[in-house]
Amino acid sequence: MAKKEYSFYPGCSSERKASASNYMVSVDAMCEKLDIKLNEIPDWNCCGASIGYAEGGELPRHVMNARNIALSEQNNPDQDIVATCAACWLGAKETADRLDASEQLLADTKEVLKEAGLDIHLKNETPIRHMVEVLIEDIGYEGLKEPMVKSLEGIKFAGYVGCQTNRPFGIDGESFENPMYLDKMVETVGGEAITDYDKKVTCCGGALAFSEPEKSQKQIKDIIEAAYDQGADMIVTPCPVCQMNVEVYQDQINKHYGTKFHIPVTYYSQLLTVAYCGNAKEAGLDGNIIRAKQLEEIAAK
Amino acid sequence: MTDVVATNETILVVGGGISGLTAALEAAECGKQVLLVEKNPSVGGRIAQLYKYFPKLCRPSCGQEINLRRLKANKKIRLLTMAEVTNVAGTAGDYDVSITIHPRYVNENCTACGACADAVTAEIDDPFNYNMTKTKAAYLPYNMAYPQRYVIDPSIVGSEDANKAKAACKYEAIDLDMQEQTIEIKVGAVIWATGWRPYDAAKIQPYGYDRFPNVITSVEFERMMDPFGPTGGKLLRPSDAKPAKNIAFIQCAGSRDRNHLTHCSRICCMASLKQSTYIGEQYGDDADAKATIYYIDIRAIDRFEDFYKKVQADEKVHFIKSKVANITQNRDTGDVVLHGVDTEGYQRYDNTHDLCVLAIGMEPSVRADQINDSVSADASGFIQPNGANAAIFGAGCATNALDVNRAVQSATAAALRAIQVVNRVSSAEA
Repeated sequence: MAKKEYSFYPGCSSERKASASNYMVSVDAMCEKLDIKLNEIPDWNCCGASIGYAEGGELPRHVMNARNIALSEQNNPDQDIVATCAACWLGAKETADRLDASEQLLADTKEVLKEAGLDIHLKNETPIRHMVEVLIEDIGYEGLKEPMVKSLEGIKFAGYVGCQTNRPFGIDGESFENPMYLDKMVETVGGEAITDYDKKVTCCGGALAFSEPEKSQKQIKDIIEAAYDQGADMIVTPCPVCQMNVEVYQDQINKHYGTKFHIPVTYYSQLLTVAYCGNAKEAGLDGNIIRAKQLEEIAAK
Repeated sequence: MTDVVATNETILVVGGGISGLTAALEAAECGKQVLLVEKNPSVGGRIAQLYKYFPKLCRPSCGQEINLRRLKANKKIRLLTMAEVTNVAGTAGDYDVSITIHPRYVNENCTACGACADAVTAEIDDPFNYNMTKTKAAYLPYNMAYPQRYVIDPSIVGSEDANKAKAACKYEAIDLDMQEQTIEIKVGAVIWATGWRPYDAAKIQPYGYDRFPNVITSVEFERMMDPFGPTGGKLLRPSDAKPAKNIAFIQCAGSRDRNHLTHCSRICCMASLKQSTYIGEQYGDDADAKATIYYIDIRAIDRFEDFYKKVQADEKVHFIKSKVANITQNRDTGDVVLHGVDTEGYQRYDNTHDLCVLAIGMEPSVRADQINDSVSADASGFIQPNGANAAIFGAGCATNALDVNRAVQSATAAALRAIQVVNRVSSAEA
């Protein structure tokens, strides 16, 4: 397999000691096995995430993403920008679309970037992609199978896609209400996918987990309940926010609703890393608050 | 078999549904030569799949019987079935047309005895029932089909099944060597009546037509009422074949929506009002049987207002002014749950029903801009009147979303236009 190179936008949740640092660890291991090289965008900044929509204002939000695009086009020319975080991907992709659609917004954005001398580097020609797109489109399901050493046979996964990789852009060719790519990935590495998982695209509450915990936890409860009802051993997701919300509030939900939830919530990259013979540490399994014991057992074999 | 004689005084009618049949018959009954080309193995089109017409609630087979008698009696009409027009070139009074005729593998000797169907084992989806059931791969499209002649599905040609069918035929009607052929003819005017098809309900993802068996379309629901249809005339829900009594209708499903069809198909309101009467017809006074119609606004245009008022007075029929947000399924019962907001009072609802019928919109079977450069399409792909266009006239649902009554009026108008063109040709040549 020829080495593939991408300009990498890790985002804040992937930083050391942040909530999804184990996602990053598993992505590194997975990419090594797949011969993918990620060239980090130097001095990348926040995508704006939820704050950008709430109070940040439109121009600042787009400028932040445009700065990342400009830095990427300056330092990693001719490489697609790849984000592992669904929110980073969505934010950057939205900005690229909006700049493309509005000359005024593009001019205003360049005016701001001029302060940092970056306006001349912003071409806004680079495709902005999520890591799952790279896996599905550039590597392909067959290619994902190639480095496989161990099968995840015997584990039943609820593929929780969430919203950000799904709406409004979505993964090419997928349905918004019933996307199948996560299920196909699970099946590719020998796991059992619950293809008609009821809460596949239900909102996890996103940032409302902080500001409106009751409403958000109601959403999360439904997501977990449906996974149990349909016989899942664990949940798998492509999004750091989904992963965090669904995993860390299980104790609080148990207290509030009298449930006994204790279900691991993993990343697709952890599954692939284990299937590619990575150990538990390489797969970032030590970073899960609710340990994915079945994955750990396979990794230890 | 296909030695078609056509001249610049011939009118070509493309499509043998109610509009094409009407146009062909009216032109021929005025003494014109007509070539009627139908893509399917029989004429009749979508009206043959309807249980009842609104507003009189009479049976379409009645009018079809009359039309078929007219067709059989008229020597001026040459009918080609399983034939598709692939190219139209030229100008008014002088068109060159290419027609591809697909093999039926059954010739004129067929008596429709059905021995071939008994002999074959392979089954195919039955398009007459919108693929809700299977039919044998040697089949008569439907009971009233004209021509009354069986069809061998190409999927079995070359197999043992096809040989069995041939052996079973006592009339030497099966010819497995038939080939596709293309003919080139001249005509003076063209009436384009290729009709409509139901919008693909699977595209309305929040309604889960592709995921939930008890979400069906209005055209499928219509087939259920046919005594010879997929459920033998019973309203049975697909998941468990239990009687569907508490039935939801969603209006504008995939219509008047920028994500789907932007136009209003006009017929769907009346179709659902009509279909709500089927519930009373089927279940009588059964208190559990009821219809709930979710609507944006009811468009029972002009003289249909009376029908709407009659349905409103029916205690079995309820109206909720709301565009349904999404549908979920109760895993244990198979019931469908409709979620949304009732705009009269702004109450949220999660209503459980046995069955949900999507009142699906119409889109043109063939986009107008694919016919010929001189034909213009509107935003939805229907044929738009175009003064520069010499003599290709749209008829029926190829021109707009129309009910049967208006489709027939449109076909008569197209026939009159075409007649004038060939009259000009005749007088020029005389």
